[in-house]
Amino acid sequence: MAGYIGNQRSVNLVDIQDGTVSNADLAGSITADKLNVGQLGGRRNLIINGAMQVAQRGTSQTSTSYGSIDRYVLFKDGTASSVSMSQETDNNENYADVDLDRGTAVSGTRYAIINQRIEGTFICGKQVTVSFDAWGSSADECSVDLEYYDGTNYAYATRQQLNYTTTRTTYSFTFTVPSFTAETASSFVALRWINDASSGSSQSINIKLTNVQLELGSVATPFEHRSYGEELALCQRYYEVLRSQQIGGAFSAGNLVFGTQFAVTKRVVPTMTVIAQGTWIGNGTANAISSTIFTATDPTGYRTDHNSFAGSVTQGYAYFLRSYTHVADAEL
Amino acid sequence: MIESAQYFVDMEGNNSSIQATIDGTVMSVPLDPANRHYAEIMRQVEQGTLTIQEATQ
Repeated sequence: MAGYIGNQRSVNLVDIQDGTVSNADLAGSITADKLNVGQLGGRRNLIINGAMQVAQRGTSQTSTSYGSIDRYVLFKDGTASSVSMSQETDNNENYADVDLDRGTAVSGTRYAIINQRIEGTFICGKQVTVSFDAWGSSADECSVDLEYYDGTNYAYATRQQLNYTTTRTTYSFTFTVPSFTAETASSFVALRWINDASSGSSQSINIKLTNVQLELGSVATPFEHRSYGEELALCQRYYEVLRSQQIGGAFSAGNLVFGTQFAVTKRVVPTMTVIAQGTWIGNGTANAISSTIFTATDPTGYRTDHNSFAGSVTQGYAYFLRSYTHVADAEL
Repeated sequence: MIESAQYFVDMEGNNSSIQATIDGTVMSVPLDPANRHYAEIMRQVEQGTLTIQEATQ
């Protein structure tokens, strides 16, 4: 089809047959929310584990910090306040069931917060849109904002108010991220849901969250679903549980040495923790290990030295380490 | 909460990490300012609320 549609400047209804428009020169842009095409191109979502699928630490927590659903962290101020989070399932979809109780004080600085800290200060100063599904055991409200930490100072985007009900609903908010000031290895931008004295919330709120997305621009596009494996790998940049059998050897009769690589290179040199000491096996026998010392840890892997264990080993022989659990933590 | 912190030395005798008890769990914290546990330990040391014990040889 060439030329004009008649000489009309405004066409309200036109039935154009397939293949009759070879080129279209539009006077303006088509915004993403006008494209009725379902899932758009991938990798738009800067949030990791937005569908709450991955919970390497466990499925519930009643303490602050990281403790259950990967990448989400809880904070509170004051002993009267409390926080908890659990991974739940509804209609075969995961969600975070979060309780934020800021305590008895209704003024001052008391707060209870869930947030996700993301690397990516390239979004500083830019417009981003946050979208998520939210509902609660009862209707309530809280604040939503973005926090930028440059390694020394904090800055905040203008808070917005979330009023949610008991019905699962998709909400979206557009923010301008605070301007860039500095980049360090500790810098982050955090998406936060806040219960504090200025959030309009009840003292204690319950909020259920899933399908969390943060993307550049002013339009909330459909939630970007990723597979469990993809999300797990993204989460493992920050936290990894290691259990696979390692091979090493006896450095001496009193010292066993093992080493392995992480499944995913860590954000920074991680903190290492022993959950289970494990067992050494080799030369026809197996015995319990009772001490683990982490050495030579870097973002790609680590070594362990063991100078206390049952049984005897022979210098120069190879041995396996099994039935252990170590965790590597490089969270923001 | 950081309950205790003590340097750990490697085979060459250099401080290589901090053995810290955090929220009841013993952790091996690297000497990396970008590590959040190390950053928190050093913040508390600067505030005077935490002392890192010397390593035991």
